[in-house]
Amino acid sequence: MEKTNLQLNITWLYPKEMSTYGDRGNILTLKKRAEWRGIKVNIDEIGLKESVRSDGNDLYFFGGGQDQAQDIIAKDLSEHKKKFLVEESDKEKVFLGICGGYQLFGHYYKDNRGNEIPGIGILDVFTVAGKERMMGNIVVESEILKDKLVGFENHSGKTYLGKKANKLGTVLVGSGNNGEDRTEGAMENNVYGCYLHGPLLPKNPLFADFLLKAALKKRYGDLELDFINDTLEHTSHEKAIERAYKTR
Amino acid sequence: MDFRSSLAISTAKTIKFLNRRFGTGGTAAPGLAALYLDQNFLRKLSDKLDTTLLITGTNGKTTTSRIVGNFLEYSNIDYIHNRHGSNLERGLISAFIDKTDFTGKLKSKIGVFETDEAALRKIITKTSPKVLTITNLFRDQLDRYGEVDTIKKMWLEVVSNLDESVTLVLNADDPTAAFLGKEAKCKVLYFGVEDKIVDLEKQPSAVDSIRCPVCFSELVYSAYYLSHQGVYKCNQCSFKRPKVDIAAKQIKLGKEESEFILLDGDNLDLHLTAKLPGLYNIYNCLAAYSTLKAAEFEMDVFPIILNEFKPVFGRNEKLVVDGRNIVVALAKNPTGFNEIIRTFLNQKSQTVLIAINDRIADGRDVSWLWDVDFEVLTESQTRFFTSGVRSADTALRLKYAGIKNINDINSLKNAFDNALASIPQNDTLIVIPTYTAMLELKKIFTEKSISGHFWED
Repeated sequence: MEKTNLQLNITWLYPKEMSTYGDRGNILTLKKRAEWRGIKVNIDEIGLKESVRSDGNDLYFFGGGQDQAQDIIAKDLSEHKKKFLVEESDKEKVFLGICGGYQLFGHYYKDNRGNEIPGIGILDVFTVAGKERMMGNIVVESEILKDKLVGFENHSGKTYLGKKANKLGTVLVGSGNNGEDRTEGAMENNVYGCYLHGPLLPKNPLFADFLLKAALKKRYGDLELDFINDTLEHTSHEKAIERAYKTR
Repeated sequence: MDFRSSLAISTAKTIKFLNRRFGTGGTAAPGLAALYLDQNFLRKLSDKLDTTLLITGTNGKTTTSRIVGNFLEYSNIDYIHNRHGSNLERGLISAFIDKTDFTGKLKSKIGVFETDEAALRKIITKTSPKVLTITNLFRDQLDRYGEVDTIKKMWLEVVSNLDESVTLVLNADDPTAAFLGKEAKCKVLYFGVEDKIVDLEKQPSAVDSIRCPVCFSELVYSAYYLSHQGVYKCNQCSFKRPKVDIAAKQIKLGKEESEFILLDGDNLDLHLTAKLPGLYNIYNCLAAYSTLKAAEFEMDVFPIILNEFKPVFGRNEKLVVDGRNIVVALAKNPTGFNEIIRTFLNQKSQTVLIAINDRIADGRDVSWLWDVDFEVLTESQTRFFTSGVRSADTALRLKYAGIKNINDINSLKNAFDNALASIPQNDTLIVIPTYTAMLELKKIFTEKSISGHFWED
């Protein structure tokens, strides 16, 4: 298929407030990998008090921030964005949330004082504040990708899956969703969430392309993405896995 | 001196001797042993000092303490300083051991201690500082601290407990530091930059405290000097950048040195020149001056010591080998890295070696590389060598910044040799290592007999 006229609209939620762990890397990766294939990319940065553009969005990215920001973001979501984002997820638009973003895709985040901070509920998961921080390199075996995902986790929230959500992968090294059931991340429809920052997509090009394809599919139907020389991506993927086994 | 302390001193001194004799172990080992034998050792030792100065913060604590140290040295004042590196409790004790004889008698009356951000809470209970200086707060080693907020909360607790005998020296341009001053009951001395010429005019990518520390609304900036350091105020509550006591203006940043006017109150203007490039070093000079001023020293000789100050190893020190120059600039977080780019990588065609390790002292998490603004170099002709444990991650980051000229060489020694051989005579190789890569580099330099005054370190 001739790809010169293809385009992709990415919406980046809260780039200022939710961008603590190199989250920019995920946006950069999606953008570059699409552009290298001649696909035009638009990125909409949506902050506090702003509404999401009402049509033509293909992919939503929501990164991680400090725990302190969670309250404010949750309030802003419900006032300005929740209704629309829920409709978009019903239309099977693609969503990727990491750390705080992942938690807010779920039903709620219960903090240390027992307050429930509501999420937007597009993933059937909930999170409870934990006492211990789960930090370090993490490796996950993903069934949908038939490959490993590697990154770095740094969270105290423990996330549990409901019936409708599937795990994104099985933990090989690290803590994952809650440090108990060896699951990591969640997926439902086209909504994906996980605790792997590092950031996630540069070192996991297979997942980056998986998301790009899913997003383009809604607009153009099934299409194959052009080959990219990923030698460097694979080297850093393998090295990171090696470091994970050595350091945890 | 009690038995426990005597045993601690003699053990520590023996370890130190063995270390020197056989060249093993770190500088903190004697302190660690002493701490094991006597938990209250630091308290007992620091009680013997008349004046203790503690310097903490994410960036700039080493250079700031060195300037303070050089000032004391120049003034012929005997002082203790943990200049050999470790800034945890054990490192402070090791510094004391150096200056204590076997009977526990201490030669110095003044202590200058660079203190780790997280270790401050414990160290402050075992020392009675006259001055506590906080340079800034940026995200750094999040894998160790969890979040930037964790450090802020720790500091808030420390600062709220300071009594009136202490002077708190703070960077007014950093919202977190300024917030601490607001919450403190003791005397506060603020330093800051007051010069539009160094205004970045827009918000950089790596900012960590752009929200009001009081009410959490977004701060409004009229100048961005360095990351989130600048002139700010909150439109929702009364929080704003405090009035500055010690200010830098008329700043001229050169490739190897800086010039500025230091304003101390309404009366004193000092014209200062330092062989230290970069705006971050202007902040270090201000922090050092303010610390000494808060400790009530006569500041007449400050311009002289600043003029003679030589950079610390890895902190922008310039070395010469085979007619080529090498500048080593330590980077451990996105803000530090961005400032190195701003200071050194501003010409069309340059050669850079980046060495990123992910050992505990570097921080296990290298995701911060994605918050460095390498994109400003996309259009330049800069040639990159990447090295260290995470060389592939670094190369990947550069690739996604659209940079084409990348040589990924895992071994630091090979990478260094190749990078140096690739530049013409009289040209400069800029080396940007993380902490443990910097130590490796120092070894490589020693083997190659590359000389600099870092031998003293």
